[in-house]
Amino acid sequence: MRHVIVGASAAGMAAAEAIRKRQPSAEIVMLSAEAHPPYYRPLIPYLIYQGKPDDEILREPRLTPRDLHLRLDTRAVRLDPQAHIIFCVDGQGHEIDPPIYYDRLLIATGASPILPHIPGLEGGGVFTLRTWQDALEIASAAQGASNAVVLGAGRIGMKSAFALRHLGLSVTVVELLERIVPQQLDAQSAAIFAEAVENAGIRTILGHTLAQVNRRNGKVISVSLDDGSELKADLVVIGVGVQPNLELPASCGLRVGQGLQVDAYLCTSAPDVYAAGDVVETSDIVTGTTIVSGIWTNAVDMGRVAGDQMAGGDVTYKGAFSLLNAMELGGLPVISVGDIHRSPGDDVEVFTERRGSSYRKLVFLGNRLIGLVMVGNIAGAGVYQTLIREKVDVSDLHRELLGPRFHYGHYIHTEKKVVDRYVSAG
Amino acid sequence: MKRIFVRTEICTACKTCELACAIEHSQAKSIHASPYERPHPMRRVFVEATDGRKIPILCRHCEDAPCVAACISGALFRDVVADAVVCDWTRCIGCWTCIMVCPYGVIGRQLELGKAVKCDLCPGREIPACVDSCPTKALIYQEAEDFSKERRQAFAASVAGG
Repeated sequence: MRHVIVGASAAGMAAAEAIRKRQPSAEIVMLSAEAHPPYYRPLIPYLIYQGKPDDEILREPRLTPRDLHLRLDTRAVRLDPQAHIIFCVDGQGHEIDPPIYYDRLLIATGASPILPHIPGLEGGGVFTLRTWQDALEIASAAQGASNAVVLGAGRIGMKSAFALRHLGLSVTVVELLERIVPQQLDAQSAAIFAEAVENAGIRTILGHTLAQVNRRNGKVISVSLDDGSELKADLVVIGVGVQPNLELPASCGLRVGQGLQVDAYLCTSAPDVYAAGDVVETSDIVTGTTIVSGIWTNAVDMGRVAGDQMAGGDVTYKGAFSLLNAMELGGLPVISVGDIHRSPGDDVEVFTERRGSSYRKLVFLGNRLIGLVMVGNIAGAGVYQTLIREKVDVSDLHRELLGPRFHYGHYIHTEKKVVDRYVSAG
Repeated sequence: MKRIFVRTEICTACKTCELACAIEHSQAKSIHASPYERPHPMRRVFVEATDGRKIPILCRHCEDAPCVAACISGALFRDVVADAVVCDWTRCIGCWTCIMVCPYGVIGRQLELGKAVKCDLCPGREIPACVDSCPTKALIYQEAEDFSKERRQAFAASVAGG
């Protein structure tokens, strides 16, 4: 049995591991369009300021499935699902001969940065941050540069900003929405982080976007904002989100919506072709709405399920979190899970609590917990996350959840009460 | 493989296990010297009490551990020799994704180092420090099969006796 996995990041690796677990001797071929060996994508901001040695950003060998036939610089471009054949090109665009036969295929092609339509954006001096190579290019552009402008105050934008600030550049982050890290933070928590960002010497301009990138002799010299103001810039980093890489599935007419569509087994519309990670269209585990997630943890979950399925297992996929992120920014940790932007009313209850730079927000829908933000004190966040994920009826836990030190003991003791009730009811 | 089990009914929440854990994971390994160390020695076991019931909560070293799956830097992994889920501090970047996914809430933060802290079953010790120190034997270190057998027998005896 030959499994071919297209993509060597979170989903692909998790799938390979799941396959290896079930099928110790199956052949696993992994194709990566990148020339670089597999690495931990979330760590590439370190490459910008050399905050970590390269080998600690590369995938840990003990966490790489054994006997993995890794083919780098190999971009899958076309698929023949009837013949079970995948066609690839190398880094120069030359077709690789012969094409690769598969018994089971996983499409884990991930996503690519979105480039907005802004005059002057095309050309040198404007970067996105998605790959190892991207990070090196930003690092090299930062040498001798003094001013950087980052468009987008999301995770990637802020990580880029901090990395560039590390190198001593003067950094301005421009964000269209009225707060930083808008998906992951609400107004109150964003205000806490705004302080941390300011203390790090990073300037933020909220409620605005870039109207134009200005160049002299092709070189970026400044950007103009939508209000007509101008910021000096030697380099620009764009971090406004990602879109799924659908070229391969589209090449053979696989069913595609916002992302590559799959069933509960993560199988696409073609037999023996599975998909996992940022390329997939799935449903929000909390709200049930259709989403394409760009989150590492979701990608790993999907990879595990898809790999298990490909190797004959029976695990099904229950959906992804739209929001499932932990990070530390400016020395302050934050964890955000689920649906955190709901307003109270209509069966929705929102609890918030702020103490200094610590903040906690819980969002309830009926008898369920559906959203969590924890800033500063993040102890036990996983217990809340589990309650959200498992859609636990938390009516009996309400008081404990709002208290300052909710822990797993509360939960199993409640379970005990449930057992007691069950027993007493005969 | 042996695991740490908890007999909640005889835990008095004296927190000796927490102290022993922190000392074991310090440099001096001494109740007198360890508290002054930097970075601060930290416990990996958490004794909690609710409604008069006490419960020490510690890492279950999950077979399919969510923290290992979610780790974005390759720091968390299963040490096959100790059969324990452990964190490699050279890899850990302090992103706290593990804290976000641990269903038991037993991963802590070493603030001075920015590293995740969790139970490692005390490598080098035959019996983990928490178990060794427990004055009431609420914590025991045993094969899962043996523990479950003893519990079943004790339950059967109590039913038969009543």
